[in-house]
Amino acid sequence: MKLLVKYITVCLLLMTAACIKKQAIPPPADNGVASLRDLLANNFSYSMFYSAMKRTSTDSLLDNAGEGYTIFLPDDGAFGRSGISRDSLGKMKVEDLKKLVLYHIVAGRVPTNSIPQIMNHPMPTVEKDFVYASSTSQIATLYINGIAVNKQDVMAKNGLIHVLNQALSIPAASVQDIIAATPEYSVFAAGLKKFGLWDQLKTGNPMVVLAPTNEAYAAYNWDVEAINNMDVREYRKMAFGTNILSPAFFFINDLRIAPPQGPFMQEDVMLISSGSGGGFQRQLKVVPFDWQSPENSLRSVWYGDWVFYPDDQQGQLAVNGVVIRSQTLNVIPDSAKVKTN
Amino acid sequence: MKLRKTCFIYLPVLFVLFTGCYKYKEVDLIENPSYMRVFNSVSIEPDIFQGTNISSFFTFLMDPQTEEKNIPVRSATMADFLGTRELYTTSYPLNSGNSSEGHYVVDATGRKVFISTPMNYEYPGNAHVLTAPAINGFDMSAWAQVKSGEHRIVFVARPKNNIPFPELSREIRSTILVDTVVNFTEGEVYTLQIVCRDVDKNQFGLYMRRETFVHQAFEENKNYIGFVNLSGARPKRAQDGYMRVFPEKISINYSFYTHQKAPVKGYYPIEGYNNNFYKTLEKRMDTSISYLTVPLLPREAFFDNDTLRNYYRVDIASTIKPPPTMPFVQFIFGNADNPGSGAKDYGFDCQANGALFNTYRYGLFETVMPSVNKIVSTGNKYRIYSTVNIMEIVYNRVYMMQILRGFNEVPQ
Repeated sequence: MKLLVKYITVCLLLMTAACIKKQAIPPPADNGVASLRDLLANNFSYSMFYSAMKRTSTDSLLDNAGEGYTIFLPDDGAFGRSGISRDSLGKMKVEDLKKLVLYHIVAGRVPTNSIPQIMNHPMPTVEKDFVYASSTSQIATLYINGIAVNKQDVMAKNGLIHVLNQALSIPAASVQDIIAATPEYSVFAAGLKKFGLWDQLKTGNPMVVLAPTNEAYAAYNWDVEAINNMDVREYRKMAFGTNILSPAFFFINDLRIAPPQGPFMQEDVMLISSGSGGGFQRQLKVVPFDWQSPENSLRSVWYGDWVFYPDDQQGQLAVNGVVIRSQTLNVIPDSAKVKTN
Repeated sequence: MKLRKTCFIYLPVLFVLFTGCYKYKEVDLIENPSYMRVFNSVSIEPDIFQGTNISSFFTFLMDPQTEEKNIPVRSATMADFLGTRELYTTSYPLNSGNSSEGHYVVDATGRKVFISTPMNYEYPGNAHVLTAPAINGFDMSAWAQVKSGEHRIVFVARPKNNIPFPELSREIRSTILVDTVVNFTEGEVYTLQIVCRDVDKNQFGLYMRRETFVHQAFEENKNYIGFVNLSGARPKRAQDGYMRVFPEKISINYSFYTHQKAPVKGYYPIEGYNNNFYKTLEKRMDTSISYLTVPLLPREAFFDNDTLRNYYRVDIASTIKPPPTMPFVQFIFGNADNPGSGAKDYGFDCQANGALFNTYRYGLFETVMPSVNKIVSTGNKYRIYSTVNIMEIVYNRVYMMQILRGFNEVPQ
């Protein structure tokens, strides 16, 4: 009898576990009925951007009744990934913050399928500077200044929201300004000045600058003083010259969505990317022109090894190009030495 | 009583029969027509190092309605979703039939690569428009009738999705690549193609050829093959040796082989057709074509004891495949600027079955192309047709356009 009770209890327990637990069906989403303000005010993960808008009195845009606005909105997580906390956002000067907020807003409704499927398509923001949208037929993700849009086309009655993976930053006046203003590029800046490459960063063709940090140079005992004391005749220009790619304009994610099918030619060397497939597209290496000849087939390192560019460092935008931070050197100083026999 | 019963049965039937009819409006005839076929001969993907920023997926519009700033909206003659043309095309639409399996090509590993968005390979293709009648004995149903006279021709880059062109955003519709005016003469046949002028600078252009084959006299017992070079400026990548393309000046030699059992089983060139020089393509975008000829061989060359010989089987990816035995024309291409730089730069054999060819795409620089003889099984027997072939070289591809004589009046 006791055994039977036990048996029945176990059976009943099993039966309760086998039950289908129906969840309460949520009411269908009311797309497009809420206004932009409703969406921002009622969504906690948008609170940092919303508070920034309120602080800069730009939130009146959210109540427009006209053509509407498209907001490339970094949610709170995105601000975190960009190293911006609630505190630091609160301490920003109102003028700067206003510029930053307006740089995330484009006039009119711009759903994803209305953006041309081309690389770095410029779109004017309310702040006047451009944001660059990249998309291809191969990859469904939309990228704004190299930053992925995590959630596309959040519809509102009077606008549209694309949720970004990171916050955008306002383009600097020139590539030179970015390098000059960043302390961790001081060795790189000194090198560019020493080799007469500094002035071209102010104007000229669109360019991509792969900027190694001071730490990267320190690994080879190069600092500002060492560079200022060095004899230019002892080194090839490529010690610093290979860091400037011109004419070129891309962010790191563009290497993934429009993978290079060939090398980027420099004066006497070239840059290769590690091709398509996996996460390896975001690697670049400097090699000589004859790197594929049979006698070189076993060699993998020439002037430097592969330099990997992580996803969270898409590059800082300037009016005349992009500066991409790199933590290792693509040309090791010794290999750029002029050889004398 | 009987009548009532009859009425009861037949009246509904008659009602259904009469109301079930739908009379389609007849398409208006086009007066003084010219004939037009449109291809997209661009095959590029975005490449961030070279600055190439679009994919080759376009919309073709003729005399479009425009809105402000001359941005095209729609047009009566439009080829939306115009992808890169197929390597092999005939003078009748190849993609007019439907596949229950969907649209796909098979890659080298045997995997089916499905095309999930709408896709046209040419205009008119399978569009419901009036097409050209048989001209000069050729089946011309792949050319659409258009009104003769001046027309505005526009090509726009479009995204790969399923939104029809008129519903795309203004911003997308304004990415115009080619905008030009052409003049069509009455009764003439034109082939239009969008081509790359310069890949590195994202420059495109229109190549228009007035087809002369409708005026030429062709012998029925010969196959005609002509080449044109439609490549644009040499891409920087090719100059630096990182992309394989056809040379600037292409010298072309050809041979014609048949499979024989003696002295040793294998292919032997036909006498007089062993490595003949055809010509050097000096000019690009040439609109006149000079043809080389090879004879239409007797029936025995295509049959072995009444069994059709084997094509080169493009549908079998493995190296073990039935050895081909069909006669074939071989082309060898050389660099005329640097002759003798190699015994053989590149060549291909016209040895495959055209019906299967476009589905099995293994890569660039095909070593096999479809046979110049069209073999069709109809009326309980195989018929072998001689054809006129126009081979268009574009950078690293050769597009083959095969023009067939009308099926009803062909030689046996």
